[in-house]
Formats: sequence, C-alpha cells, structure tokens
Amino acid sequence: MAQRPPTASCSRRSFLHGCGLTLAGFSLSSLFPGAFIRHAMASTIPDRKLLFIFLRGGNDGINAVIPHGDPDYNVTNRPTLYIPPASAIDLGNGFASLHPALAPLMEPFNAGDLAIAHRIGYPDSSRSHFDGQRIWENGDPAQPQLFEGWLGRYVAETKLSAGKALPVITVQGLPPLLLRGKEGFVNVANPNNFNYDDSFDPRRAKLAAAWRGRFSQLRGLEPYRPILSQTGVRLIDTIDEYGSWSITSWDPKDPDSPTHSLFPVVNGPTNPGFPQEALGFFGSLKACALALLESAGSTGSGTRVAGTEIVGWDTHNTQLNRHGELLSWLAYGFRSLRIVLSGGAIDPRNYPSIWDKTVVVTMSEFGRTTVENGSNGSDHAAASCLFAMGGPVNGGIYNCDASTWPAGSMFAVDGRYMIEHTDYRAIFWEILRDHMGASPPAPDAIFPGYTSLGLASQELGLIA
Amino acid sequence: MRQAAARPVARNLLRLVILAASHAALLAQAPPEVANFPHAALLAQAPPEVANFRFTGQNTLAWNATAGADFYNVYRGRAADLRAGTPPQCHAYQVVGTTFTAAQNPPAPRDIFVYLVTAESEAGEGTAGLASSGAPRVTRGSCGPVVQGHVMNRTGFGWGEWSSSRIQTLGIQGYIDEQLDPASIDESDNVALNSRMALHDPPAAIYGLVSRQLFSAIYGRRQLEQEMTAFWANHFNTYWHKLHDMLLPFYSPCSESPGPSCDPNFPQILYREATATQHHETEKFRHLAFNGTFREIVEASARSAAMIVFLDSFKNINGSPNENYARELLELYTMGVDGGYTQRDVEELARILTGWTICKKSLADVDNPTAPCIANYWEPAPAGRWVAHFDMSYIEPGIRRHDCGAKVLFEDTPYETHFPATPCVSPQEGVDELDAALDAIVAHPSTPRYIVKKILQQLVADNPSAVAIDALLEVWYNHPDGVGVLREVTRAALQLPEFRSPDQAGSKIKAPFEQFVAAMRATRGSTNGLSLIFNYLATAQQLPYCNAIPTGYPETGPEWIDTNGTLWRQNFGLILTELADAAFGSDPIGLLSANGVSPVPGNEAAIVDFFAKILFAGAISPADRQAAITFLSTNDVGVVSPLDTTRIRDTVGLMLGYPQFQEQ
Repeated sequence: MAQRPPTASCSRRSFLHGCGLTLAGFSLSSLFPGAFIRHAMASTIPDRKLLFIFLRGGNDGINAVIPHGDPDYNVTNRPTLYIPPASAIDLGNGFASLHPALAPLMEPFNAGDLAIAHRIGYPDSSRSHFDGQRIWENGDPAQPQLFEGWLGRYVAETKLSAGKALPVITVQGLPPLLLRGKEGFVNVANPNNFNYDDSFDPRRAKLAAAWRGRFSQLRGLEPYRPILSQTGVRLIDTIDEYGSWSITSWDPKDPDSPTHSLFPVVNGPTNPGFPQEALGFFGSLKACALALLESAGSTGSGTRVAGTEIVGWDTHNTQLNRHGELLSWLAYGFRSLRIVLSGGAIDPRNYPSIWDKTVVVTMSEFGRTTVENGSNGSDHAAASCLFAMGGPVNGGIYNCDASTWPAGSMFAVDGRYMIEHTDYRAIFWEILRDHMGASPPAPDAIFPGYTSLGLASQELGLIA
Repeated sequence: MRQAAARPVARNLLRLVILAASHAALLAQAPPEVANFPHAALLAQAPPEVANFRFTGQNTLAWNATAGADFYNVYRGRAADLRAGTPPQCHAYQVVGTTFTAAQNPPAPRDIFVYLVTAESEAGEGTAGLASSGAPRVTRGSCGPVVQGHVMNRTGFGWGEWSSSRIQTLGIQGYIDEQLDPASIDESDNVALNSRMALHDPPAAIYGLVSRQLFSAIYGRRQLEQEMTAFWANHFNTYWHKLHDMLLPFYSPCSESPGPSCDPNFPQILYREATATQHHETEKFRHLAFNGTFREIVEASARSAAMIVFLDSFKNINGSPNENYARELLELYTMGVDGGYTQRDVEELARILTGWTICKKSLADVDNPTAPCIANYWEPAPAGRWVAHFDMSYIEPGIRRHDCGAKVLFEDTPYETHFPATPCVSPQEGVDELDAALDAIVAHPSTPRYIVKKILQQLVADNPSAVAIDALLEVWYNHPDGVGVLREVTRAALQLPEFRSPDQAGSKIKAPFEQFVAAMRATRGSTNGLSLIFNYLATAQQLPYCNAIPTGYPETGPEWIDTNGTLWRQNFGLILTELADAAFGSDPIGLLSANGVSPVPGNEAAIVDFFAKILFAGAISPADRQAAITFLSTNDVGVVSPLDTTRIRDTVGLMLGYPQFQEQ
C-alpha cells in the first residue's frame, strides 16, 4: 500500500527569506561577487557540530531575557506585556531575569553550558522580515539582496562536505538561505517521510538508478541545470543514509519524567502537554539531533551542521500568551537537546555523548518595540537576545548587566528601539573559528568587511 | 578570438567553432512571426541541408539561401556538452535572411560554442547534415516545438491537448492574443472543466477554493487568465485560515451556545462564510487581471475583507496604531522594500487606514464600505457576505475609530502628498482618504517599477533585464487605454523579443503547483480536487490560500530547488501514473491511443518519443531518450522483456521525474 503524505488542511508554512527580487547568479563561475576573498580555509576541527534554530518573525528579546535592571522596562511602557520580577526567573546578576516559560533553560544555565546573550544585532538594522532574515543569513548588511548564506560559504570554503554521506541537513519547509552556496545540502520538509514511496519496490532500485544517471549527466545552457543536477544526485545518495536512521522508531525519553518524550511528535501520554502545532517543531528538532548522533564513525552520516526553525514570532497582537507559548517550546527543545546529545536520555540506542563537540545557537531577524503597540503586542525593532548552548560554550549572561547596559539602551535607536551591543557576525565568526574550526582563519571570506569593521573587538568569548 | 578555418568542401556543412564575444543588439520589437509559407506549393519535402555555413565576421554567421526555405533555425551548444552527449539546442527560431549575429557571452570564459543551422518550410525542417562519422547531426529538440512548448509553459501550465491544438491552429502570436482576451475563449463545451467546477459552485470550504484553482489550471482553456489570477492572488497574499479564525467567534455550535445566532450545522456555515469572502476576492482579481488597472486591483485588495483580516487592519484604530498592513502595502504590494518610503510613511499610512474593519452586508451593499451592516449576520445565505466596512463610530467619548487629523506621505520628496484634517463625521471621509493615499502610492515611480519586475519574473525571466523593465514601463505610462492597464502590461511582457527567444525556454523553474498541474495535463490526469493532490500540495508547501506569510509564494528558481522538492515532484509523478481513479489518477495509455501510438511491444521508441514531445518538447539528449526506452524495455530487475501497460505508466512516471520537467 502506498504511503501517503500526511493529511493537512492549511499547513503552517515556514517563513520565507527574500522574495527573490534579484537573483545572485547561481552559475558556477560567478557565485562570488568581488567583495569576497577566496581563501582555502583548509581545515576544520573534525567532529565539531553546529545546530541552529532560526526564530522567524522577530523574537521579543526584551520579554524573553528581561532587563529588570533597566527602569525603562516597566508597566507604563508595556501595560499588558510587563512581567514583574516576582513572576520571572532571577538570573542572579542583579539585572537580568528569564521569562518564566524559559524555566527549562535553567538546567543548562546552572551547569554552565548556556550563554544568554542580549542586544545582538547590527547597525541600522532592517525593519523588514525579508531583508532582516536575509541579512542574518547572508552575513552582510551591506548586501541585503545577496542570496547566499554565510554558513553556505563556510561549508564551501572548508570543504566540510567532502566525503561525507550527509554532512549538512536542514529540516524545515523550504531550504534556508543560510546554507545556500556553492555546495548544496539536504533539506527535509517532513522528517517522517523522506523516501521514494514504498509501493514502488522492487522497481525502486531501477528507478533510482535511472534517475541518478539522468541527473548526473544533465548538461545544457539552461541556467538551473547545475543546481538541479547536484540536487537530484544528492537526493538519491542521501535517501538511503537518512532511512538508515529509522527516525520513526526513535523516541528518547526524559530521565526526570520517563513516560514523556524529549521530542514529542504525537498527542497522547508521551506528550508532556504541548499543543499540536508544536509537534512539528519537535519532529524537526528530533531529526536534527538524530543526524548529529548518527554522524560518528566511518559508516556514519558525517553530519556536522543541522538546523531548523520555529515560525510565528511576529507578535503584533495579543503577544503575551503567544510569546510565552513559543518560548516554552524553545526551552523544552533546548533542554531535550542537552539531555539527548550528552547521552542522558532514556534510549535503548545508547548513543555516546557528543555534547563536548556540539554548539546549539538561535537567531532571529530583529527584536521588538520597547513600548508595546495598540493591539497588546509589539512591532518590529532592532536588537534581540540570542542563546548559545553546548559543552564548548562558556555559559553565563552577556550584555545584560549594569556595566554593559547604559541607561536609555532600550530607546537608543531612533528613539524607539533597543540598540545592539554586539554584532551578530562576531557571535557566529567566533563559533566558526573557535568551535567548528577555520584554519587559517579568514573571517572576511565568510563575513565581508569583518576585519575592516573591527568586529573582532566585539567577540564575547562564548567558546571555551 | 579564434575561428576554425572552413574546410574546402563546398557542399557539406562543417561544424564551426567560435569563442563568443560581444552582446547581440536587442531588437526593439519581437520580429513578426512567419505566417506565410510561399513555397508550400513547390516542395513536397523539407528543404535540404544548408550550404556554405560560415563566419563572415567575428560574431556573424552566414549561409547560402536554400531552395524552398521560408526561414532558418540556429542551434547552439557548448562543445564540452556535445562531447558528453548533449547536442546543441534551439537558439534562434525563424531567422529570415541568411545571416545571424551570435549572442552574448557564455557563462564561463573560454567556453566554446558549436552552431548549427537548418532550413525550414511548411513541409518541415531540413537536416543539419552529417557529422564526420557519417551519422546525422542531431539537435536537442527542434525549434518549432520548443518555442511552442515554451509558450504553453509560460502562458499557462504547460502542454495540454486543447492548448497544443489551438497553438497549431492560431500560431504563436494568435494564441497569445487569444489568451490575452479570455472572454473570447469559449468554455461552454469544456466538460472536463465544467463538470468539476459544478461540484464547487459556490465553494463551501477551503477544499472547494483550492479545487477550483486546480480545475481551472488543469482543464481550463483560459490558461493565462488562471495564471494571472493566481499571480495577483499570490502578490496580494491572504490566508483563509485567518479569515476563518476571525469569523469563528460569530458562529458557534448550538450545542454550546443555544440562541438565535447559533449554527446547527457548525462549522459548515462558518466555512461557507469565510470561503465566500475569500472566493469573492479571487474572482475580483480574475476580472481585474484582464479588465482593470493596477490602481483598481490594489484598491480591490485594500478593500478586501480577507486582507483587512490578514494584516490586522481591523485592529488599527485611532490612538492605537497597528502598522502591519501599512508596512506591507508599501513593502510588498506597491513600492517594494527599496522604493524610498520611510518609517514615518508607514506610520502616516497606518493613521490613514484607521477605521477599516469588516462586517456582514447585504449583497446589494458588498462594494459599499459605508453602507450599514446586517445585524442578524447568522441568517443563512444569500442574506449577505462578510466584506470591508469603514467604521467612523466612537471608540471612546470624543474619540472616533478613524484618526481624522492631517497626514502627509513622502514628506520632503517630490511626491509629498498632504491629507488635510477632516471633520470626523462621515465614514466617506476615510474612504476618500484611502483613495487619495492609493493614488499617491501608485503614482510614485517606484510602484510601477516594482510591479512590472514581478510580472516579468512570472512570465519572462527570474532576473528581468533593464530593457524589459523599460519596455513595460513605457506601456504602463503611455498606453491609450490608460495608466497601468494590466492586460496591456501583460501583453507587453509576452511581446518582448526576450520572451520569444528560445534561450528562455527552460530558464525558469516550475513551482510545485505548476509542476503537479503540468503533470496532470500531460497524462490525462483526473482529480476531484479533494484527494491526494491536496496532500501533495501541502507537502510541497504550496497550497493556495494557505500561506501565512504576506510575501506569498516565491517565483524564482533557487527558492524552490532542494532535495525535498525534487523528492516530492518525483513521488507525485510516480503516484499519478500508478493510479487510474477519477478521484486521482491518469490515463497515459488513452492519450497514446488517441494519438495513434500503439501501447504494444516493439513500439518502445515511439511511446517514449510521444511523451518526450509532450513533457520536454522533445528537447532531451539521446541518452535521456535511451534511458527511458531501456526502462520501458526491461523488467524490474533489468532483464529485457515485453512491455505491458503498467510498465508504460511506470516509464511515464520516470520521465515526469526527469530534471528537465522541473524547468519551464
């Protein structure tokens, strides 16, 4: 019986990144405009892994990591969104607290594995979702119409994919710009169904072989032939690898609550209480975690980069409950990742820990207005918060204390928006250089202008 | 630049090799289509091989006039591709005269192009001669079918039985002209379309809305009308689900809240109301796409209840602004993110937009935002419809819902426009103010520039040229029928030499909806809309009316090409050819038989060639063709054995999954 894709009414769709107003040429020869310096960053540090989660829509950093030490965070500015100190989780530095929905983050935080960074952004940041996301993903605010990812550049520069079965995987509706570049990558929209339909066995092998031949031999002057060819061959080569993980039979459980799944994907007793719409995110996160766990060894997938997203952070209306909801998913996901990737889950598969080799990081295109709007929500603003977690991370609170947060910070941009303290590029270059490895280091090849803008001076020392 | 010396053999055509150099001069207008075939009476067969094919200058090809030829076709390909088994493809169709200027630079430096030329008359296309091995030179497809296939792909959803027959009858120009006048295309005897549309007339829920779009795309003869309707609905993206959620509080089940307004058929009435409102918006776009101006269509969107709900206009009130719609109106629907508006403009526009909301009105009042609302909204249709309403009532003592103060747009620019304070008495003030704001925004030069570029991306190229943009802007501003006349701007795109150039064939990618529809059209696909295809559209992330993101679905190739997309396109082709139900399935055998190709052993090549013609206009390499023939000739473990109809269907499934079918 043929497998059917899951029934859906209107499917929640992932945020798009750019409406394709210009095409930054995809032909093999003209991928890099002049600003890029081609270096061979020959080596990365083997086995280091990166997992990213893009929070699409603009996460309200002010209510996620709450600057109670700033008098501008008050009920006058945020009549319905204000969270008093008594309701928040004190982070212990006399300035910052966490939104109560982020309570699960206290486990990694108290273990020193979680860096909570605030006021991350870039100067003159865009108020547009589409430009904003593109800039966070393409690594160059000076080129808002550049359709190539900084992480894609890193993968290509370091030849990270070479010889690996499935080195880079994203699990979301459409492939993120972040990884777009000279090297392709695998994107999986439905983690439970990434295969040719069963009913076509034994014909399946004949089909796959015929297709692989056609895709690999595809030539001609049509402009998309190189990427079509690469994508088709990659698909066929990775379908078997992905299938070997048997994702539908993997269900690691919470050691503190053994009947509960760490990545709930179905309703019922294994779901600790998340709504239906959260289950898609947890399914995607589960696939990312599994890819990284399956990466080890000579027959492993070799996965080094995995990523997904949560959509829906664009809280223009009645934000309080909705934002809390989304934060609870993020926090549970983070806590689950730490348990699973450090070998602490209840799981018959007993994967060894990869915690000391893994960094998990969030991103979001902007934060939200200090003063709430007329609809009990907030509008597009500038800087927001960011979470980085992993064995190699120097845990703690960054940019959210009296010494780094001058009075007026929450209105310093245009008299309306919270100003950044650290450029997003400094965060990610540090992770690439010191965690993933980039030797010899060539930041300008990944983030144009990194050196001339002096961004190194903004690095926070997140990586041990 | 090097030129290969022509061998001193006068008659036989030799392969010529050049390093392509300068840009070709672009023609101001598409060359007229060759319609007369003056030599039809003279020759019963196609013209012979063209003689004395040579270079006369660095980039100019020339040849001898050939007896019986009405025009010539030029083919071009990379030498490296040719060596690897991919022959040259159509580069210029219907060249009149005996010279041709080679086109601009190849993608990579030091590429070497190979050119071939053939002569054509009504009797057919002549040979390209013999290679030095003695075997006939082949081209990857033939110009005529390639260009026809390209026109069907770009002005609609690909090859279809009626469409291909029509384009043969009318020629390309005639077909395009007719598609630009959808009212002139008779659908009254289109049983495949009408019988299905009747099941969803009017649509009762989201399934009905999506089904209607599918049916029009698969079975409709008005292909361009459906394409442009979907284009404008996508440009002014709205989201049925949010409309549904907005109306939910108004309709509750009688089991929960008995009373006069309860719905004994919950949620049917709720679905029907949300659907009726959404459907009305689509049909308005359908009408305006060929009978209106951009100014009219942006107003239709601004005054659409679906849009008012989607971007929170109803929450935008005096003193508590919500900028969502104001921002997207400028960024996505008119001027574009680089159009030159400021944050202040967003705020001022939000103030202008205060007061808009929705309510249910009688059918006589659906286009009158100041008409009164029906109090008993729960009464069954056709009592009315949920539509836009302008509300000037008090929200607090002394404070009206609409901000009646003075406003300004584009201050300190040449387009500065003032909106004086109004008395704050009549809702008409707010309606008139929005009219004036839309006038100013549409008149801003960034708007047509942004809009024509999107139209060009839909029809012509992912990265439209400056020449193309200027040509459409010329029509936008100077057409005798008015400013921004959508039909004429669309026509201008289809009249561009760039559009007619065979180089454009395959230069765009089909979006998933387009791919699934094209597969259905090419295999006598059947669907009742409610079935498998709906699930595939969901998995491929392109369900109409179901995009929560204001930007709508993307149009350019790299946004859609990925492993997941390829997987589901291939799976769709497999399931389509596996099944034969009226609810979902295909009939490629019937299609073969109806065209005189017998589905029997021994006929493998003819069967493959038939579908290669439909799916790819024949433009696949010999190896692609042979792979399909081999697939058809062998069993599941690769042993040669006689074909049966199942294997024919499987082979069509294979071909639907070829990379070339993702191109358009």
